[in-house]
Amino acid sequence: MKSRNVASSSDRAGRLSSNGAGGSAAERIRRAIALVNSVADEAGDEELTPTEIAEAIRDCLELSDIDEIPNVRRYLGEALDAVSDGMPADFVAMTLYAALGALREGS
Amino acid sequence: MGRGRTLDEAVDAALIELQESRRNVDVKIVSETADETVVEVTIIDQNAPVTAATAPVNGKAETARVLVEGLLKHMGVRAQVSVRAGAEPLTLDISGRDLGGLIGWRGETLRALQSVTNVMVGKHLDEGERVIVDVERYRQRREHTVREIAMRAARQVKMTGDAITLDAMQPFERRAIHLALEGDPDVTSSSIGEEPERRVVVGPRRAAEQ
Repeated sequence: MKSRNVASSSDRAGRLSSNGAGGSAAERIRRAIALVNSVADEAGDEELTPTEIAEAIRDCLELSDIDEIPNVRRYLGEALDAVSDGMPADFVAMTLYAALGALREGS
Repeated sequence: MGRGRTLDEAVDAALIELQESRRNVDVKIVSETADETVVEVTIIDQNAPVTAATAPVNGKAETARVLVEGLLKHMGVRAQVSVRAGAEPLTLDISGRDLGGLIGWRGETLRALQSVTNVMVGKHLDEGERVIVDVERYRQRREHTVREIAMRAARQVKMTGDAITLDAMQPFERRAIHLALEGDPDVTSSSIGEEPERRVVVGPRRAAEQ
């Protein structure tokens, strides 16, 4: 992932996984988007790694509700692949917005 | 030219003078302060091809502008896209009537549009270069508002010595606050919490440095 303020922060990753257990699908996707946007917009006040973003997307994929709506799981899977492949933050964000849009259309 | 306390008032003043409706004109903001906004309003020639560039034509900027214009056309949105003069990074302004839907809840749709735009024009940009998309100056207004909030918070922190936690904000808004306060010798800003509830804390610099 293209980012300029990325550094290791294992304590935050731990908090992220423990906090990520709750919330609706839309909330979890919005949270993942916010993390990606934080990298893209260079807020400059947090250190995020691709692992943390992948973790947030996996939190979305854990929800069984998303299978009831077409394409949501597919877009989330594509976003996760994009993070793994080191695609630019805007590309990941766009794919996550597509998942959010599909969720809205289907609900 | 139109003048008013707000953008809407300035545009309305110009429209009354020209006896035109908003859909037939192109609006360019000449200056914008806390007290007064000055706009230049020109009547659009309906038969002329749309070339709304307000900045000297730059290859990358023009490519981005044309791509976004095409995207909006496919979306069925009637709007004009122009390149903001002198803006760094490259900023595209979208203007038109009833564009609230293009901004969306807390600017979510606008942010999505910006992501799509950057993916579309990415291959024309240098490494790390980005395009900012703004609709009806929403983003600029938000940045202006959060900077004012930051200044107010800084004044209060200097008076009381207590730290203040602001509302949850988007990354570009937090960035605007950090930039606004970075030169202040008496206060400092930092962020706490998890996205999307991440908040800026403004506190006394001495306390932060101890």
